[in-house]
Amino acid sequence: MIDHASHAHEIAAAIRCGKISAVEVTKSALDRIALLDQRYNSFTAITTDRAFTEAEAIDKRRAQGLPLPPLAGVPYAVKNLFDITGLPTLAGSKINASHAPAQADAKLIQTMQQAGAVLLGALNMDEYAYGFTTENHHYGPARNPHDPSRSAGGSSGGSAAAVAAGLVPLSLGSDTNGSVRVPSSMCGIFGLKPTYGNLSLQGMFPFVHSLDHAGIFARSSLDLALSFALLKFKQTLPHEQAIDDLRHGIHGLRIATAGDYFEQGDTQSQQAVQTVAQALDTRHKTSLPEVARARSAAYVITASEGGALHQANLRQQAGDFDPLTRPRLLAGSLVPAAWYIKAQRFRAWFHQQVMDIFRQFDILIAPATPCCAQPLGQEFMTINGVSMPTRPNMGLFTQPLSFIGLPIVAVPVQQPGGMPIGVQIIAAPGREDLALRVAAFLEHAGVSTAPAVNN
Amino acid sequence: MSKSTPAISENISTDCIKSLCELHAIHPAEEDLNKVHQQFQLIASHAQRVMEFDLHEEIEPAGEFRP
Repeated sequence: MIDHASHAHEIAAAIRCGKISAVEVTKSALDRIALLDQRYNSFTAITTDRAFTEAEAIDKRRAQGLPLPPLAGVPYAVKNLFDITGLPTLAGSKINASHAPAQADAKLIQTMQQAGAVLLGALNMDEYAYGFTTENHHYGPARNPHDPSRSAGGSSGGSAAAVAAGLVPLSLGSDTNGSVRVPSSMCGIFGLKPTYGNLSLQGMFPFVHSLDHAGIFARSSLDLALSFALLKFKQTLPHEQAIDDLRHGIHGLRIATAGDYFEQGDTQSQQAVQTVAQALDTRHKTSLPEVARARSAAYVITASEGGALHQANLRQQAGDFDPLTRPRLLAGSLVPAAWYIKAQRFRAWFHQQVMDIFRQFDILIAPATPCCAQPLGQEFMTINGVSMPTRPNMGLFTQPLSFIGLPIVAVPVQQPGGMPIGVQIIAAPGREDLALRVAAFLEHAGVSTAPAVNN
Repeated sequence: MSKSTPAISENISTDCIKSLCELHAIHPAEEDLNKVHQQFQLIASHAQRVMEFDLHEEIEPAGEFRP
């Protein structure tokens, strides 16, 4: 039976064999969004007409006996920094709402359309992707389906909440410092941040050119692998190969837990890593050098490039920025070039050090966030007795890794009666396949599950 | 690896931030200035950590970074 909890590959298979039509799936998903999204505020725009046009085209192909593409009829949605033809690309801002509508879809939306997926709309986010909580003053906060009084994480909070709530089985987002992995952790779903440069950013509103990645959210590792294969390789690699790769398990993989810096999360965060390590039967622990400094360098680059990007608007219409974003962008626009250049030089050094570690190990595991989702509006959190600002520190464990562009799958570890938390499965550049294999192993072992939830 | 002398002033004043803003023809509202100051100090503390790290002079910036 196909329902809101179905995975993308299950929906595509059901449509392919005629158990349900693409239009029926689309109508059901749109009805569910209308019914439930007032609670989660994950969508900022619904593309109803487009969705039915795309779904009808799929049903017509099937009626004509033509082969259907791999994601035929699968509903999905995108963070509202993706260009969608006919809509202004908000990027979470009020300023962009007055921009002309996009003349074309972002490259990844074009690819999803070729793969048969049906676009349902655009999703909430922190303004200009500068945040980890999606507390957006213009469009309201995205709320966590596990507990709507808590943050869905950010900056792709709407993308994660929509998938966690079963409104769509798949969504696209972006990750500059953790904006796929943090909301995946908070909402208890799977998230993939591929290798830097591995997915096209064409038609996506930028944040930090040096660090921006596109990413994918799903409730199963198979959906992540399938979507990534289609988005990355299009028709050159049969998507069946990506699915077959998942069945290889973890035999032969050298896996280690990242220690030291990555052990400063709360009890739940550390317990989740231990649970994953036990399931993977790894007792190896390794230490990455200068991780705190890597995070600092990422912080400087982010502030500087983000501030520079918005400097003209900060001069002319500062009052139109989100009050949470404006001081950060203003401060970033003042960063001296010497700081920025040293941070970029440090990045080259840190990358080399971590590549040396990948000569010994294929996979590293680390917590995704220092704690689970916190209540909306909470300024400070206490981790192991240390009080720290909530919003920047949710990226404590993600920021140093996206800094050097490593491919990472965030896998969920559910806590009965409590909030979920994520663990990062980290691979060497270009080895998304290995991280996805580990995620699939954990899912099949029952360690990582991502049920649709509606609290 | 770290040097004992701070590479960045530990006393960045609000006036200094105001002057830097003026340099860029940005005029933040008074109520924003303190927040910008706080954010700049946070960035400066991160920058301090980066600037005090000795790197071999041949290491180039990773501006065209491709892992």
